[in-house]
Amino acid sequence: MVSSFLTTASGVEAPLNPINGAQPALVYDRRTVSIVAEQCNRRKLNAKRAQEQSDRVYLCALLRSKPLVEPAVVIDMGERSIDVLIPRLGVEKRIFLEDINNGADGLVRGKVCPAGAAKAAGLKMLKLQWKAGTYTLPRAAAPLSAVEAESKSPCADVVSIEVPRALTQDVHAFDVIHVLLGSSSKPPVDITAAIVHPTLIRGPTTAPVNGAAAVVNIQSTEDDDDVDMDAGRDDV
Amino acid sequence: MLPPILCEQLCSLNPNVDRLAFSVFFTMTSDGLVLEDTAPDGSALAPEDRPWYGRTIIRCCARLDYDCAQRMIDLHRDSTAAGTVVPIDTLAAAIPTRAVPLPASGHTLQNIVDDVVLLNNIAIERRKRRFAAGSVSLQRVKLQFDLDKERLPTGFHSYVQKDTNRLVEEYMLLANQMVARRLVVFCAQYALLRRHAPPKHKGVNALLDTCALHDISLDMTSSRSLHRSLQQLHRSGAKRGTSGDAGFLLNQVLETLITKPMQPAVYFCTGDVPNVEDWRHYALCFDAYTHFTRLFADTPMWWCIAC
Repeated sequence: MVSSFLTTASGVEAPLNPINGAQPALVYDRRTVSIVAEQCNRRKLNAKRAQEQSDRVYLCALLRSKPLVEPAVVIDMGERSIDVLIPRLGVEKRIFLEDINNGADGLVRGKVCPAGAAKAAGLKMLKLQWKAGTYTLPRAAAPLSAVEAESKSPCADVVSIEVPRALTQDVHAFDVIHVLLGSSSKPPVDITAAIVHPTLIRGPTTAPVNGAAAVVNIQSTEDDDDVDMDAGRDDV
Repeated sequence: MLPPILCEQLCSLNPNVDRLAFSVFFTMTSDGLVLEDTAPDGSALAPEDRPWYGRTIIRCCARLDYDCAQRMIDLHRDSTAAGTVVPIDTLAAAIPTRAVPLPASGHTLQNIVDDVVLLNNIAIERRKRRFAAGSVSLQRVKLQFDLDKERLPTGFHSYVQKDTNRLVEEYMLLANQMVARRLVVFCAQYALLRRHAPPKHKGVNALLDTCALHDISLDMTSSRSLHRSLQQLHRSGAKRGTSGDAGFLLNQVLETLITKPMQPAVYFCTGDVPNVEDWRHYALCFDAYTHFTRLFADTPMWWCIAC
């Protein structure tokens, strides 16, 4: 369509219709162009959503077989949840504290407590209180010392780690915490995230997970070359 | 997706076959300035050197993919650094067999390498100009998955943009921009353009408040000031340390937060948007922009018929 405009704009004689010899209707009227523009917008938005959801499904499939502990940056927090961004995955996730409370990882409760000068400045802080007790982590994500110490059942997928003391963790916006990422076992398929006890973090950043199989380019390279921002994504 | 016969055959630029095309011809200086009416010395440009738009028959002499072109650039860069010239055998050996250009009409592999290197050098200059003029780019992580035989993911890594991606991007932007300008002049009432409105005030203000609380300096007055702020943050982040470091993570988080108040770019009919200011593309900082290089906007009539 843009090409046809350009034909008009370039002043080139357009060929006649080969079937009936009529003058081609090259100049679209305004109404038609509006409809086409709307259709393009709808299609592009849908394509983008399909792409994002496809990425998400693949990530879920991967996390189901290989749970991962990743650094996550706190973006926002409330009484009941923390919003984090996992930079290496480009994934945002809201972690509900009540989900964690009932879990086996021993997080007693979180409390947003802006206090004193911090409150006056509008800074939020969340206090996470961790019980003493036994914590479990997937073998692949557990600290190496814990994996070595636990020689009893080296076949199990999870490692149990004893934490002798209770701990209070203060969380502020832009703090880096670590989260255990997995995938929900029932539909709807989505990423699950839990906060990892701050003393149970393996080394620095987890090494990239690399498969030996061929790389499949999920994102078409052609499409990446455009530079628009569509709802926060760089694709022109 | 378009049917394979269209996107893989009829519309694909396969080597050594004639293709009907729309072309924009223009003259550029080696530092990436497009000449429209006057030469850099101020003299009037000869008519044949001015931008020309029209129907063409084109024939590619070689088909390159991104990796192949990237290898040419890398090899040339390495040999230039070593003060040598890449032997053509080395080049040919470094390029995967399926992509070895089979130059037609007297073109040689050396010609192609020279052109790729030249185009890349000009693209780098154009990119500098574009950001100096006010473009901003927000990078988000794009994942690629490694798949096993059952097509199940076994690992992932993030997609890295290379020289060749940026090279193609620059010329796509340029062609799209040139076409958009032309359309604005010749069919201002019914042109199909793509606009990008500035970010929403409410979201921007909330973000700026958050940044102020954390002593992060961010200027979102314009796309240009935003680009400068981001560069500043990257420089200070780089100083602070490596990829595991909080400073580096913070920059990635900020880029994500900045995209939140951003609005989507949309196609529109110029006749429906009376104020020319509203035709602008915020992120690219262009007065007018369209998608001419993409089948996407070029085939909407097919969709209209199909739906």
